[in-house]
Amino acid sequence: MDIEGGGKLLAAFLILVVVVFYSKKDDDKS
Amino acid sequence: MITDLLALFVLIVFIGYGFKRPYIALCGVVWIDLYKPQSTSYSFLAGKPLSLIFTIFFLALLIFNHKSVKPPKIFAYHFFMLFFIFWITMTTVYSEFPTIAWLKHDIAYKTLLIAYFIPFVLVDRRSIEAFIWISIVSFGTYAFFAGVKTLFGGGGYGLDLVGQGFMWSEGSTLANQVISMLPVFWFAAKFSLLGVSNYKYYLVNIGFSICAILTLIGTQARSGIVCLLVYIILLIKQSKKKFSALAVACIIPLIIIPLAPESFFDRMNSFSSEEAVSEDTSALGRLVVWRWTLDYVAERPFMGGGFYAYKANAGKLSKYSKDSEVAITTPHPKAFHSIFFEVLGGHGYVGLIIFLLIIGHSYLLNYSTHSKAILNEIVWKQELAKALNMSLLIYCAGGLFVGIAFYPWLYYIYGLSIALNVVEE
Repeated sequence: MDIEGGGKLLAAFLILVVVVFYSKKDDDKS
Repeated sequence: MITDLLALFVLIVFIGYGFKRPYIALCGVVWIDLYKPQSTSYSFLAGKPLSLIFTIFFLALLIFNHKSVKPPKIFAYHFFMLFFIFWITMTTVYSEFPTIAWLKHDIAYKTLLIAYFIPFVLVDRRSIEAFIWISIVSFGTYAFFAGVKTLFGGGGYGLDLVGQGFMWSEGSTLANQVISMLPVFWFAAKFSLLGVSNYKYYLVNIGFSICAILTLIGTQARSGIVCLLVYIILLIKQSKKKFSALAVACIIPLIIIPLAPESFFDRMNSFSSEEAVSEDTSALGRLVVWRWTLDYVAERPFMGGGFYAYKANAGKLSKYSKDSEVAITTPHPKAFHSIFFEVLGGHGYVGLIIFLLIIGHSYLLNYSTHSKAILNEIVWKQELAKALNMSLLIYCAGGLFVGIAFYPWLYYIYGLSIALNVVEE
């Protein structure tokens, strides 16, 4: 995998983690 | 194709989770505007109006979820942002180069409009941190591209290290942006809910920080060095443990010196003496354009010349060089290369005053938030307010030499400053 492919994969993974993590925090709050 | 599928997957995540949470939809808009997957694609996403689709999606969600939307009750914020949008529209109507000015206006007003809605939907710690993290991932991706390429010897002055073709492809712009993110990376690593939940997210931010410094080496941007120096000074000044801060500051040259090529030091030496500067057409060109700008706006003090007003200086710069300086004889126009002269030349003294008020208001809000958070012992607010102010100062210090007045981060900081100031947690 090239550098840009690796960066995009890392970004996609992090976005998924961020969205799921903070949405879950929202659900826990409500 | 695979990267398009990845981008599509990310978009589906934003849509799926964004339906009931406008701040997630806003994060999606911000990711598209910063990362521009439709512009880096060579497959089915290429050229698709993703930004427009997601902006409509976000605005529709604002209406459907109006109960969770809280417009901030700070009149100055609404006035500054809306008046600035109005003013850049007026200066575009009366611009000297209307055809290209409207193209830039199209990008600038959308940036301001999206930033304007930030405090409407970031109403608690979770939403603010989610927004911060998405900004980090978007800018961090570019830092990763450029940093890793530099590490493998792919850097160099004037090269496009992110392979995007526009916006962040210019070295000084990229270096300024990623260095101004350093305090935010640190906040997310040490104080965000996600950062403290698992050590690997701490390491991600440390990795992005190292990539940001490598980006500075790779781009060989002198304005990036200014940003880094400002960061080091702020780090030492604001730290309670001066010795620890000084030790951290000493690590930065240890990263730069072994990794930077000889051409990096040659370029940095070009502003080591007055004589070197007076013979450097890149540095001198800025001074000459700034002198020209003051003359230019003397004839149009209120409205300036609109976006791309600098094109009026084509062939006129030679008479603005002093005797001891190299004459700028190019027949082509030279850009403003400064956020302040960019706004002054393009939008007159009225535009500059509003622009300065936006920066000043952001700073004061964060200062006030920081002070109140210390009294109330809310650590995350203290640290985020401090990080935002550091980022703002670094961005503006670098912006003295780069024309990034209508790039998004400055306005995102303003929106975040308001959101952080009014949030009750």
